[in-house]
This record gives sequence, structure tokens and C-alpha cells, in this order.
Amino acid sequence: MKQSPISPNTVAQLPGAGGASAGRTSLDPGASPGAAVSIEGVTKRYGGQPAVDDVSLEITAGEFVTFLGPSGSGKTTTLNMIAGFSDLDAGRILLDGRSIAELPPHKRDVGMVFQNYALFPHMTAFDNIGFPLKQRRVEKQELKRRVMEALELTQMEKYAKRYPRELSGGQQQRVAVARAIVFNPRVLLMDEPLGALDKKLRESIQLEIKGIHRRLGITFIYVTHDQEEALVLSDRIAIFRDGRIVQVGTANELYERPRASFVADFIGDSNLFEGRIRRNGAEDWLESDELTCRVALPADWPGGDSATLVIRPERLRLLPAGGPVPGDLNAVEGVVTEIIYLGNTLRFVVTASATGRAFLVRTPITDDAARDLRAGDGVLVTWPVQAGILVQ
Amino acid sequence: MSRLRPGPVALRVCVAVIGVLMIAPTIIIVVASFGSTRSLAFPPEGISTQWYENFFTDAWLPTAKSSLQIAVLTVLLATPLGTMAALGVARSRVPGIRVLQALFIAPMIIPTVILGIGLFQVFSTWRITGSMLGLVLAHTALALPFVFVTVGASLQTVDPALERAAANLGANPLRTFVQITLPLILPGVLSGALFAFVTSLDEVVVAIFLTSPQVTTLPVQIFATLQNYLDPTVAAISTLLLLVTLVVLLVTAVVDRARKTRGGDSPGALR
Repeated sequence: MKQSPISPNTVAQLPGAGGASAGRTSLDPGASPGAAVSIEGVTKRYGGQPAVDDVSLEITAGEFVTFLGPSGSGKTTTLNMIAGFSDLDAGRILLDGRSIAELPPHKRDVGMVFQNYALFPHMTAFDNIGFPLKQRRVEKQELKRRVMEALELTQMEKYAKRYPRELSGGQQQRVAVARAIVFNPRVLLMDEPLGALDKKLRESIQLEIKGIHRRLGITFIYVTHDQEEALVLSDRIAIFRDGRIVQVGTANELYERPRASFVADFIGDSNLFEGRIRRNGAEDWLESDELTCRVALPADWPGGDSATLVIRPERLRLLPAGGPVPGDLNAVEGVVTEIIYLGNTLRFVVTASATGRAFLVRTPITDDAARDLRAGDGVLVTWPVQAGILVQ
Repeated sequence: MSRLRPGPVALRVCVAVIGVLMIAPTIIIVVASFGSTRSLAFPPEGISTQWYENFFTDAWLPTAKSSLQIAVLTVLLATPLGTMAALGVARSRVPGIRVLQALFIAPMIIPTVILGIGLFQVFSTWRITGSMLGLVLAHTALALPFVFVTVGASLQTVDPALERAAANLGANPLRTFVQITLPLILPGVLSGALFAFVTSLDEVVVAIFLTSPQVTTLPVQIFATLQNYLDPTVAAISTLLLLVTLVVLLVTAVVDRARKTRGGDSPGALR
């Protein structure tokens, strides 16, 4: 019973059913309160054009997974298919091994926080949060207890009697979260829930969301186009592009080992060079209009000679022009064109003398040699061969 | 100073003229209804309430009763039908739904005479001409577009995400409608119902085709009476009809205001 999603109908028919789901209160750290979600070959077309194209993803119970991608990349459509708002043209979605494609939205027991919260304007915060319990015919005292518990969890006890329009954006957001978790769903979907909030508030609510995830232990699927948000919140991130998942991994994996230039470009800053790979004796070289340098082919390189070289700005080091270059470093001569002071780091833009290509360089503020540089100074941009990541 | 500029002055004059043109006939009828002469006259000679007394006699009361019955039944039929039609058109993702929308509004646009002839033909074969059922059905067809339009406008202010949220939280479509959509579009539903009521109460063209000596409506009897002579009772009835309409309008306005000041319930306050 614990493992199966409890539909509202079953709850209504079971004697003491309020207890069946209430036993697992939102604060109860019971065994795996979350559900595993399997997305298998899911496809959705709009007018022949695929909005989601053969997407597959295994999400383990209790995991926090973020769908990250630009608008129109299919992340929200995929979320809507999990919630049941959008039919599947192909594929299956399983909750703990059970297909939910046949279930209408109101029988899925999947919580969702909407982009603009979608709070019911004619109900108080209390009634909004009580709504899902009312649908499940939870008895009055129990309903009150659980609503108050959810209000507490989101620190909104004081605002129970307020109507949504009497609440600030951040408070509305909290009510929306409380409403989505009060009925103990085993999966919580969030569709850009912080998009309408200012940066400072966003950061504090991000931490709250992470805290709620930890306390509830349920599976979170979060949609955003903000890579920073994805990095802060997620156990794993799925990068969406043109209706497909380009890469799935932890923040660290995506940053350190991007498998596509799109991923490298989307997560963090990068210097990207498109070119061709040439084997020269024992060394591999990348040749492009903007740069020719030695590269390290990864062991699992699938072959093909067109490639993109990704170099993270912090892997580049600036050395004095005309100085000696250690043999294992690539080096490009250039001129400092811009210096940006960012507190803990310095950001340089260096223009290569030969090609005019700009390099983005980031050095810690403690790098004395870099700190003395001024715009117009000649420098060598250097990096170890291993620091360049090749992607197809 | 700006009030002396010619533009606003001309505008004010225009508005005043239009206002007088619109209200004057009504006022004349109201005043004339209190006249004492046997024929409708303005300005009235002498004052009496005899024409009101005349209304509450056997000649008019049965008609007034059936008129009200038809109007109420029309409201009860047209309001849910128009609401459902508006909801269906607003939320449907079926291509070509616009055609359906045009169809629902058609009774408002098609000349009433043509509608009357058509309904008469069809109802004749169904043998429901001259019956209350026929009149209610015909008036429902005429009133439905008003409900459809007002409810449709109300639905525009309701974020579809609210209905999705309700579904997500476990409410089936019916419960979603009752608990979320209906409360939010209620002002539109009520004014649609009001329009339906007034449409039925006021309708004469289609009713002429469908009434019989057994079942007739006030506008039809007024029309028939006026063909013989200018009975001041007609003016009295018109004044009473006006009063009914005004009361209904006022009640709606007061209820609406109460909802707004009570807070939280105004449908526009979505975010």
C-alpha cells in the first residue's frame, strides 16, 4: 500500500483512510515517502512538430531532479505530462513501476507548484491549502491540523486568513508550496516557481525549498531556465534542448564533463572553439580559425574529427608576455582588453593578437601577477592540455 | 478652465441630447400612465391610478402571470445552457471551435422575424405552438446568446491554471467547476440570467408567432390592444415592467457591490 500511489477514491472508500495517508504526516521521516518516476520514450507533438521528442529519464525515489533548458526546450511540457495536463503521443510514465498515463490529473496524487502559483483568489490561504484535503474528504479536525502543519512548515501561520491578493509574491509562493504538499503527494512538481520573485527572495526561498525536500524526502521535479537555481537545488540536472535531454548528471558532472557544447555553454561560463581534430605524431591537435592548440582526446572519444573545445575561464592562467612557457601548457599571445573586479575573483577579457578572438579568463583575487595587470598589457593565455574538454 | 473649451461643450450637448432622446419616451409613458382620460395622452389631463387598478383585473393578470412564468423558465433553461456553451468554447482545444461560437451567438444576429417564422414552422410539426413550452424554448434560444456572451467575458478573467491546479489537487471536473470556476464567473452568470429574464419579458416578435388565446405574453397583448385604441393601461403595464427591470438591476448592483467590499471574491483580483 505504501508503495502505490493512493488515489483519492481509494482514500475515500477505506475505513479510517484519513489515517492511512495521515499516518505518514509530512514531518514523518518514514521509509521512502517519495516515489520513483520513470519517463520512458515520451513524445509530444504539436501540429506534427515534436515539443518533446523521445525523452527518457529514471528518477529515483526522493531525488531532487531539475529540468533545465531555454524556453521551448520541452521541459515544461514534460512536467505537464507527468501532472496529466498533456497527453502522451508515445512512451510511458511510471510512478513506482505503475503507468499513470491512463489516470486523469485529479487521480494522480502528484503535487504541483505552478509558475504563477494559481492560488484560488476567492479562498483564504487556509482554504487554499485545505482544498486538496477537502477533495479527499479528510475529516474537519484532521484537515485543520494538517493545514496548520503545512502553514508551519512554510512559516505562514500568521497569514492563514488572508486572501491571495493580500499576500506578497513570496508569501503566495509559500502558500502554493504548502497547498501542493499538504496531501502528502509522493512527487512534487515545480514549474519555475521562483520566476516572479526578485533575486534576493529567490535565493532565500531556494534554501527553504531545499529544506522542505530534505524534511519530506519526497521526489522533487523542478523546472527552471536559471542554471544557478538548478545548481543550488538539484541532486541531478537534466539539460533540455529542442525537446530532447542533452545530458543528465550532477552539477559537478555537467560542469566538469559536459558532453555537448550546449551543456558547457548553458552551465557556467566557457570559452568554446569549434574546429577539427588532427593527429600529429603522438599529439592530437585542434585546428580552427580562431585557435590551434594541443588537445587531450578523452578515452571514450567516439571518433569523428569535428569537435568543440571547451575551456572554463578559471582553468586559464595569465603569464607575462615573452616569458618562458612550460612544455605541457598551451599558450596564446594576447592583449588585456577588459578587467572586471568581482570581489573574490578578477575577470579578464584577453584578445588574441593573432586572431582577434576574445578569451574569458577568471583568476582568484589572490593571484598577485594577475592583479597587477592593466588594460593594454600584453600577456600569454595559458592552460594545461588536460584542462581543455573536447565535446562533439 | 477646460470646461469652457468648445470640444467638451459640444460633447456635453451631444451627450445631453442623446440622453434625452433615450429616456424621454420612457418618462412620457410613465407620466401618461397616471392620466385620467380614456385614451393615452401627454401631458395627461388629471391624475388617477385607475389604469393600474385596471391592470390587476382578469383582462391582464393571467397574461402577466404566464409572461413571468415563461421568463423564469427561460432563465432557468438559458442560464445553465449558455454557461455550459461558454465554458465549452472557452476551454476547448478542438479546432474550428470558433464556428460553434458564431452559432451560439446567431440568435442575437438573425432578424427576429425570420427566427419567428422558422420556429413557427418547426413548432407546428412538433405541435407546440401556442403552448408555454414552445414560448419557453423560443425565448431560451433568444436569451442564450446573452448568457453565452456575459459568461464568456467572465471566463476570460479566470486563469485556466486555476482549473488545472484544482485538478492537480484532486478535484474532478465537476467539483472543479462548482468550487473554483463557478464562484469566479458568478457575476457573469448572474448578469446573463438577468439579460435572459429581460429578453423573455420584453420579447414580442417571436411571441406573436407562438402565442395563442390560451397562452399569451404581456408584450403580445399590449401590441394587440394598441391596434384597437391607445389604452392607458398599456402605459401602466409598461411602467410596471420598467419597475421590475429596475429592481432586478438594482439588486444585482447591490449584490455585486457587497461581494466586492466583502473582499476576496472579485474575480478580477487574480494576482
